[in-house]
Amino acid sequence: MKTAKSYQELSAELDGILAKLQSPEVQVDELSELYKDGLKIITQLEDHLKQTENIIEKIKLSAAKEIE
Amino acid sequence: MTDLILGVSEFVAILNQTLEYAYPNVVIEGELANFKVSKNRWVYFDLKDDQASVKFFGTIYQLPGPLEDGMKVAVRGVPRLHQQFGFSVTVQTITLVGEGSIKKASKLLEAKLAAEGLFEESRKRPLPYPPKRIGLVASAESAAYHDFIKVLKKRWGGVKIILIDVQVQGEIAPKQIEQAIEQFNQMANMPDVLVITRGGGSADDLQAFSTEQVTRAVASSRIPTLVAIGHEVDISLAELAADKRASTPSNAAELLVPDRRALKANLQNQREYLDQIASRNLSDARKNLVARHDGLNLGVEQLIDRFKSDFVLRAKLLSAYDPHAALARGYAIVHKGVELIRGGKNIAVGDELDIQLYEAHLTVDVKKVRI
Repeated sequence: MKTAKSYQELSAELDGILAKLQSPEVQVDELSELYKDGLKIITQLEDHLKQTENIIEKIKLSAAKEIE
Repeated sequence: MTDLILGVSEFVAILNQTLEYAYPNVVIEGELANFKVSKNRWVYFDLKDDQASVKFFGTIYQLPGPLEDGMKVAVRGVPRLHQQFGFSVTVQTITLVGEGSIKKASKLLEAKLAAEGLFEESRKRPLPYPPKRIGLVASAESAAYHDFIKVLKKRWGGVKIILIDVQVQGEIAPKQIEQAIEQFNQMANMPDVLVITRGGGSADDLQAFSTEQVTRAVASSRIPTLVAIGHEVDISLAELAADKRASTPSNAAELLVPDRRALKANLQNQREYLDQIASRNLSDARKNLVARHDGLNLGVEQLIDRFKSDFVLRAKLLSAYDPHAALARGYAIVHKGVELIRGGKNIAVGDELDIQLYEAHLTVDVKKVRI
């Protein structure tokens, strides 16, 4: 089973795609695939951020209960 | 009546019996004179006042510290008439009397013990912070003891305190304090720290903490020591020998354990700071992601524009080569059979030519050729 990629790994992949799009060597045939991959990675990064926010909220609530 | 006639030995025996009965021991206060130590073991001195002088004999183990002629002391001892050496008092304890004598003795002892290195900073050990078990040497009836316990419990919980109740002033105080320190050091489960404490008082009250006995006991303790003698000016020798000193019993409790209320407030601040950092990091990550999404869209749009421009340029270039464009400009395409005619060299008069114009197709016979 493949382990999910980390935020850092996905972030590095997105940077790679953006760099390719800015290079003079990119071909027309590659364009749609690059764009599709880039959007997919952005969606995954947004999911990561959302999950992290949720976990932090849960930790805050449980820590508040313990101190009380 | 006939006089009672006794032999010398008989007289000595009867007198000693009488003394033993009437004065099993006495405490005599006076000024030290003719003080000397023999063979590093035996001590001889006189105590005198304006009118009389009494001889004393003892060992160095009974000395509270270095003594000099002129000091005022109170000596507890057993008076006896020695068969050979005459009357003397055999010393049991020696206590310094009066601030002057106490201070002088303390200075002499301080110099002696300092020379041995007992007060060196390099000997000081850190105290565990906070300790789990405290060995306390104090008087259970004293305000010092109650102050220490009160402040300790207010600041921190869960500390086990083991008390050995001692006299903190008087003749027997040095021995009791020394024994208490020894007892803690011999426990199978020793405390993490030893606290020796009492409240303030006069030089007489506090002198036990400047005796050689107590000072050496503190210095040689395997358990780290904190000594707190509540007074303002002079520091006792036990405090100098301790790993740490406190100015009062309450201050001792403050040095030993943290204040849980201050810690709680600090933790709360740190928690709020952590919340802020987490929120800021998430917010920055979000902004960064939005920027890169925009970057992706912009990048793709710019690329498409570039490809489009490139395409249009090449299409224009291509159209320049379109033969119909040349026909529209008035040129014609000439064929002789299937052969495309470029020059006129292989055309003869009478040949049939096929001429394609922009809007018409002509079949002609050649009447004349001019090259």
